[in-house]
Amino acid sequence: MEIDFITAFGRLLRDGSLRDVYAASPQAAAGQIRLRRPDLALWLQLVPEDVEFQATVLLRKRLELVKYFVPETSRRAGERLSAAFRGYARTHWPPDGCDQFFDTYLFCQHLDQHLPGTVVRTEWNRLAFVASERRVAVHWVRLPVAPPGWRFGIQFFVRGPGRQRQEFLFYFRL
Amino acid sequence: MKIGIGYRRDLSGWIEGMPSGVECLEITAEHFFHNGEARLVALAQKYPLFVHGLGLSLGTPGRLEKRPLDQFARVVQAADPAWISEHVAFTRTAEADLGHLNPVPPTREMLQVIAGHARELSERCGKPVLLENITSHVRLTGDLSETDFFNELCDRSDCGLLLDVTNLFINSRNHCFDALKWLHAIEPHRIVQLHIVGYSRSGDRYTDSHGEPIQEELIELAREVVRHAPVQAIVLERDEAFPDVADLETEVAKLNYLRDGN
Repeated sequence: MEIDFITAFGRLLRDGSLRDVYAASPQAAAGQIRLRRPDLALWLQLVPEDVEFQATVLLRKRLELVKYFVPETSRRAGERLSAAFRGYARTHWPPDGCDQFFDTYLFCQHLDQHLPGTVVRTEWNRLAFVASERRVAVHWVRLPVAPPGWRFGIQFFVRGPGRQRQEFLFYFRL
Repeated sequence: MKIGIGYRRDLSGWIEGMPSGVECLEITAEHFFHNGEARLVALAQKYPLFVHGLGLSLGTPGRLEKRPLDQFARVVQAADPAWISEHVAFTRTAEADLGHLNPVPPTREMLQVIAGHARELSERCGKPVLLENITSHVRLTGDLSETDFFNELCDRSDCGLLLDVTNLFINSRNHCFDALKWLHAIEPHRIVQLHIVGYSRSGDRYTDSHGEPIQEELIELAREVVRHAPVQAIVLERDEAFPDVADLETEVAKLNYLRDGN
């Protein structure tokens, strides 16, 4: 099936190997993705260096949202976060219809496999609850506190009407 | 004309203390998609609010996606803003969510797509819509000039323009055009709100990291916009590298100074 310019441009921005084909021959890239003929003039005006830069910007913006949604996990990953995200983003894009919260959820799954122990459990529980259809979830949590030690607690999630979500975190005094 | 700031979690303590010079807030709809409606209601009692969207993807052909539109409308209902805004851009295609803003070609076909989506958004939320110019490292040309595209888009959709001064400045530098000429080709009465934040540099490119203090060139350009158009609000759009309170207050003071005609 033929695709429109916006779909084609989106594919170019998220697919590094297609960008390589485009840089060598925009016409060949158009044929490969079956771009509809009326959009060919728009396609041919794209400058490979600019598209590459835009693709890099997209990755950075996605990573900013990850940091927003899982700040403690991001802090824990430190300098390894960017490389891990680039590795994830090479092959993962949020499926159509899923939001950026879900992107973070998928990335944290990836992070858990590649940098075990990095994902902060309370943040993971939150992502998993939002991604699920569950109405209630309860988790035991254990968080590091200074000086080196642990604090225990219970994390509750409740989903009300209209998918409104509430979260409660109770700590035990030890 | 009101001076305000984009509401961010890192700034919430400072903002909720009602700092001097901050007269309105712009909240990002997506930050409240999953919770925080009670906080929105509380903020709306303290400040006039505007709701700004990042991901409705007005430039994607086809219908607006139902779930984010419903979520957006719920945030609007809680915040009861004077107006709502989205970008002239696409963030999603028929195949994937790209996660951020990408440019659309200024064509008649795209005009129809975005105007239709903007009208749908306005009807769904019951609020006026402002459309914002984005920054992009890819410059697309079509059968209209960019400024004619914006003017006609606002006419067809009955929307205002949220002019991002920083984006205009960055695009003018990266794509070698005259920002003032661009500005004066826009119908002044359409410009309702401004965004501003300092630009960054990455090699020979200008970028919008939203993490720098406002530079003097941007103030100059914003001053020209305020002379040109009946702007109703200027919002500082700081997203990262948040400075301490004194520096934030300096940023807000720059905008108050600009508004007061200095």
